[in-house]
Amino acid sequence: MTRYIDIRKNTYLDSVSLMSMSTKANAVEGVTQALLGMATPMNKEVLLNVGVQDPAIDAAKPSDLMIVIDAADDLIDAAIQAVDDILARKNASAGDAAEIRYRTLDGAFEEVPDSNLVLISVNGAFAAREARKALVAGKHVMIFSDNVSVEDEIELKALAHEKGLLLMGPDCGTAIINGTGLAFANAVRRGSIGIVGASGTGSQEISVRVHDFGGGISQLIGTGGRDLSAEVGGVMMIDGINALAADPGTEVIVIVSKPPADEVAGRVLAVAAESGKPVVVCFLGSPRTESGYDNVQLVSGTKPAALAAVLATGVDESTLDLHALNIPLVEEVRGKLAPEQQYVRGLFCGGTLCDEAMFAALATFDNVYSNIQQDPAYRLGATDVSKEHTYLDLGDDDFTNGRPHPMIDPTLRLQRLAHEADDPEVGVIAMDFIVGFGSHEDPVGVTIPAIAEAKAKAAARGQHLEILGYVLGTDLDSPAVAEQVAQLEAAGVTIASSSTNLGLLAREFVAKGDHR
Amino acid sequence: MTTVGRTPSPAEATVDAAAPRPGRSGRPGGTRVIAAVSLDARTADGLPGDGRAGVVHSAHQRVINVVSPDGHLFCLATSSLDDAPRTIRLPDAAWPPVALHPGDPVRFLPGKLRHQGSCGASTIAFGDAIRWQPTRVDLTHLTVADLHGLVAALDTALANRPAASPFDAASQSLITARLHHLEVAVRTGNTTTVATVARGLIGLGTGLTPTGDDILTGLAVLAATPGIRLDRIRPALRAASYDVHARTTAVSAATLLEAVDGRGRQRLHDLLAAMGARATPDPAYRSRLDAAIAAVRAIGHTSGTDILTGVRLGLHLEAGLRERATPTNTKENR
Repeated sequence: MTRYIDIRKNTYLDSVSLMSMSTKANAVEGVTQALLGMATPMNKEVLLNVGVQDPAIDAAKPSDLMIVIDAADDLIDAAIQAVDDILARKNASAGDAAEIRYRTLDGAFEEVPDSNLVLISVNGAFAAREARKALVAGKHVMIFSDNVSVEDEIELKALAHEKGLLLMGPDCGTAIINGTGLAFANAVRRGSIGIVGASGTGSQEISVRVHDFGGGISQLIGTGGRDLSAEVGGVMMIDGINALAADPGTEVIVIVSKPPADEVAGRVLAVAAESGKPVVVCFLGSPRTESGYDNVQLVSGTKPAALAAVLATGVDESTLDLHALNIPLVEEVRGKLAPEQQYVRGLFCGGTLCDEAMFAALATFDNVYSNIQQDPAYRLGATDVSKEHTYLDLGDDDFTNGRPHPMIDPTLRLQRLAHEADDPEVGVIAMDFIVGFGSHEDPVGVTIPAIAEAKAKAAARGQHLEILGYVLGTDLDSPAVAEQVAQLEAAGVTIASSSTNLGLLAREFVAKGDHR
Repeated sequence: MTTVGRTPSPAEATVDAAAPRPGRSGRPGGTRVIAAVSLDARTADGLPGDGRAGVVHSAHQRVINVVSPDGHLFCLATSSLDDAPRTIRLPDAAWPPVALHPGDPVRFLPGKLRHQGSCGASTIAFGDAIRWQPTRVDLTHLTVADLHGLVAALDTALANRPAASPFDAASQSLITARLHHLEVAVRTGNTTTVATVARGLIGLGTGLTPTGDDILTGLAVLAATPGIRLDRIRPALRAASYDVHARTTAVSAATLLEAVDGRGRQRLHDLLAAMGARATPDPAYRSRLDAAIAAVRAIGHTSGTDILTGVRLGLHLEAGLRERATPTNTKENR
């Protein structure tokens, strides 16, 4: 006979569940005795009385569950697996309120047969296999994982299309399906505006701006950043548009993406026109200004996209606060900067936010460097030092290889902030702070000391360093935007009210001429 | 290199870093707002409202335990359960409020709790909820015969105990022995031993609220009932509980500490009220008593039975105390 002892840390099963689990564990073939109890001092004494003693039990705390299984030698593994399965099912039976963990997709499908969406967040090498399994089982799929090959993406999207399912991703960071935020998402009110986005933080930003303008989101469907490439062909963008076109809860459709391949853009716009609904298209950085279709409006940025969408639902523009340009503020900041402080350094968690700010800078400056620059001459690597105007997407693969996304782990950005503050030619450091589902619980709080240090460095050399911040989130998020903004303002940070405005303000603070 | 500024285009002329942001407050939608049905008044008065975050401790089918920023454990429960200490009841139709997971933050605001997890957000407003306090009955009027009758009624209810697990079986001999020692200590008035033995029951037995704790809960609530002479053991029970958090689960520690203060689930107070009706000419008395016993018995798998065991022990001890104090040789009875 073999004895298996396991301590499940902080495992709280109600007495009904514990009894049920105990009964089933003792009924497993090969198990001669299964003892389950909370690891209180008195219960350890109970086990000692029946000859069960182990250092793991000695170290356990009253909040831990002790599991002792005596089973035949050749059946112990099967017995342990059976008990694990019972525990997993027991957690599942606790209903929506409990944490449910399954070891395999098959196990989850068996327990929750009416589930219809699978979110996959595993090593990219295995994501395609799991996604295929889910699609075959008839489930919609969101792949949060990156490092999935484009060949796999094309095959998976073809399969999803054939089965009438969504394949969101790979590298899809945002979705809101029937009011439920998946991966990184914000708490926004439900409404009649549907979003299909090939850019995660771009979709988040539009959803937040829609909320800010008083509108609401019906669905937010992510496609993954490569969907509008020539290879993938916009399969999921088109399926997403068609899904929103058929959705009675969606009145207006918003499309957001970095510039697509030309032929794909044409196809997407044609499908958008066929939807019969007002469609707002934001191809960030695209030179296109006209769609060629009456119901399809092209806009230049995320905020204009949100505004156009809200207006298309029938809202009277005169009732909205559009945040008119604060010229005095621009003049005031320019007046504080020394002549040599002519550059912006953008340190971004959100890729689209970085893109949008960079495109705003490129409209005025040609010396804009970035790790996401299309022009190789202006492209920086993760280990390169910043040059002149530099906008870094710290969530890009270059920076996240082997470490968490900066929306979760701010370490890298804090280090970079300290370096940028050493450069006396830097006038403005622009930063985004993203709150909401999946994000750091207090992104501003962890950055405040580094901001204070950066400002102190500049002050020590007689300069004012302008830190410009934007908090992406809503009043419904936790933490609420107002709390984060208040912390930033207390630290002397200037607040932009949107991603679009962040880019414009950063540029205008260091631009010289028109406003002087 | 171009460094010439330009005036933003009209489409971009929307920059106002200092302007207030619309929609920052007061607009409905986007999150579930759930009005609580009732809550423990004492707990409500002790909850912070300063925006700090607590954390979800554990989540079960009908109960979600939450730890406040001050370390105070309480629970959200569906209204299909009765009122109880440290409990905020939410409408059954709105249960669960949102998928809450252990470790999820819960923000404490004036009159409300706000949670936002990976699967949704909810705000629980409890400012207008009914404030619950356990109802007290006075059992002074019960005679020794009444007490014996109630013990007999509980014996009947306890005759069929729920199925026991191997762990129950392993712990039962210790529990039986300690209850015997406790009974002797109470009868002999040895409060030091009462405290020692009670401490040996804490955390003993199966379940999230171990058997020994449940028995002490029933005993402690009865002992705190007005008119009960067993109240003399309350200091010993309180002393036994001084390090309760190190000796049992957090949920059970919270339950036991409330019980020592005379506060139990409403159905336990309903049982005491039904017992108090023993001496009244109520024709529906027996059915009311049986229903009240059954309601307590239905708590958990063995918890209800164990609580009744504690109540039964208390009634038995109370009868003994009254028998000894009565008396035939007191002046009043001469």
